[in-house]
Amino acid sequence: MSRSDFWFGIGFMVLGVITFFLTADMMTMPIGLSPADYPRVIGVGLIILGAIQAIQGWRQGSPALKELYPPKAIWRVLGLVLITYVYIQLLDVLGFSLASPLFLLAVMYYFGVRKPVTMIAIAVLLTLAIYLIFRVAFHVPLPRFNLF
Amino acid sequence: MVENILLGLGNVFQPLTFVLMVAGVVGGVIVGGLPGMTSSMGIILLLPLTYRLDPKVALVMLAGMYAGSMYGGSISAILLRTPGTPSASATLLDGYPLAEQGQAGKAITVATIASAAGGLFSAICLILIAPSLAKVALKFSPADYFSLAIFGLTIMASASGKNLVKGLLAGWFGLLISTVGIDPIMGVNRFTFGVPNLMSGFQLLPVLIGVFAISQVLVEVEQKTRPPRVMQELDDTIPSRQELRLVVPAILVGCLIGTMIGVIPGTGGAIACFLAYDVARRFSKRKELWGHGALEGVAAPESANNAVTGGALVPMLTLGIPGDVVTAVMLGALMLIGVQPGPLLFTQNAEVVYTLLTGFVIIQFVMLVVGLFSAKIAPRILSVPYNLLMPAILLFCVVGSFTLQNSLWDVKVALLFGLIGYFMKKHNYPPAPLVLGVILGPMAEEHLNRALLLNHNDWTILVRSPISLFFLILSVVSILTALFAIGSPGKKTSQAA
Repeated sequence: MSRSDFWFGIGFMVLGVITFFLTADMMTMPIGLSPADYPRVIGVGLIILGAIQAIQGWRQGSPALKELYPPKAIWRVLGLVLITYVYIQLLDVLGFSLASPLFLLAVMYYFGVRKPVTMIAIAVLLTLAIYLIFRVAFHVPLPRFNLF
Repeated sequence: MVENILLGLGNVFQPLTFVLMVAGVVGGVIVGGLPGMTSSMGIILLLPLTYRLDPKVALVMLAGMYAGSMYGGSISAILLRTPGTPSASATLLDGYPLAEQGQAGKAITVATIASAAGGLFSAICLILIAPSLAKVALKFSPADYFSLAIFGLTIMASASGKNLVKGLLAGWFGLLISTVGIDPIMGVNRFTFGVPNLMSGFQLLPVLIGVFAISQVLVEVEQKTRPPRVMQELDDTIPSRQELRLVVPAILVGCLIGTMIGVIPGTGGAIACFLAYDVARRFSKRKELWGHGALEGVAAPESANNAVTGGALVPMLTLGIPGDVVTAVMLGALMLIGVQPGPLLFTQNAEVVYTLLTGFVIIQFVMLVVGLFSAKIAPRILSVPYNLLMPAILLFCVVGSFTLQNSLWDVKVALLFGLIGYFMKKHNYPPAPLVLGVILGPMAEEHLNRALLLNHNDWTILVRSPISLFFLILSVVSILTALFAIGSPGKKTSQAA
């Protein structure tokens, strides 16, 4: 047993306090809500609910972090997030038509697909289908090659 | 009303609308049938395609996806003993034993007929109830709207997870997210930290895509390999006349319970399905067969499952308060395509709303045809390998987030919320209250400000207005009910199990 719920509760309380402080300089209004009032109400709510969560987490405990995040699983998740982030950055440079098949090949490999013909066919056809739907039919200006 | 219905029917039978409605239903059946894909995910993945369409066409297509996916969940429940959607959990109690006895085809056909009947019943109730409720809601004051938003948030928090505090925290976090950007009253920057992209706040579509779709892909990537799905071929798909006669009472029970439960905000399909299953079993003449392969045991929860859809649309369309998680996503979808749910919808957008209502009736017939056809090819739908499906979904999420404002910033936001959604899932924080907080946050702030301006900063207006007081009392009751449910010994036992 660990106390991850307790720490999450503390985290929400801290978020509530930060919200309160960040609104300190905002203007006040003689009547009606000022820009600071509503976030402050939310901040107070976060502090109260976070405290309840922390107390509950402390008393009851919660699943162990190792149980929730086996090292291999969490690295796989973070790896996929990294691949997707790199793809988003590459979109601006390589454009949709070039970056997307590469992204699909990488993600399929990551998901354990090992059939090159299937991988290439899906990467090309799916990119083409999405291009036709969004660029040709809906006129969405998908990112273009921008290296030179 | 009759004129509006005829106008709506005319719109539904426009070639493009009809074709896209059928596409929505077919897509819904596939999405619902695939384990790991939910109705919410299907609607969100469809959004980037629909919000560039005419709202009438888009709404009917989304409604097709909604109804189709709710039915589709039964296919994998029957064939794989894995409900495609949470609402199909009750269907597997008798659906899978029927499959083991070689009667999977019959079970899927009965599920199809029951789903269509349930959906049709609730669609008619929707047409009859919604306009009247909207007329009542027209009398709401700003204070009433504020309390209604609070009620929507608390009911969703108390119903969508085992832990009430986690549900409320998710909702409160959603409210906080909604405050980022230029405030609607004075135009002051809030929590933008000098980042220009944050001035317009977090857009709803990337948040939805992240929390519901990308987070699911991240959960799926945890496992590198999966055991292959083993399914039997379906031969006998047509039930006999006697069998059909047996399932009729169960279907009627499901229709009534599903619609009634659906109308109550924050309840959801799973409760309705199990309740319908239990009630129909009590009235059944052959109770001993239930749990071992009774066709009635498939019919009751499946009719309830789809009867919930029409019922849940009543509070969503008239009050802007979703009936369950999927309608919370539908609420966001409607707002994204430029339709503001609420009482004014029926006066300001009568053509749009009646196209949806009549479309919802026609969708049930389309679903019946699609469902009966899919009974033969169901095993092929389920054999789509998830390791090819997930990369495709991820690419679609990226493109979908980009199309909102043609901005890569939104894609990064979707990825961030995907990660947030993943951690929320791991720690049992329900995602629906977060999304509802993002949707209802600006509405709550605006109406609270208006109420205070009109009443010279007198906060007691929130309890002096009878309607506002009613919603606040309901909010407290929903929280107390959830606390009681968590504290009761039965619940503790079931949670421990």
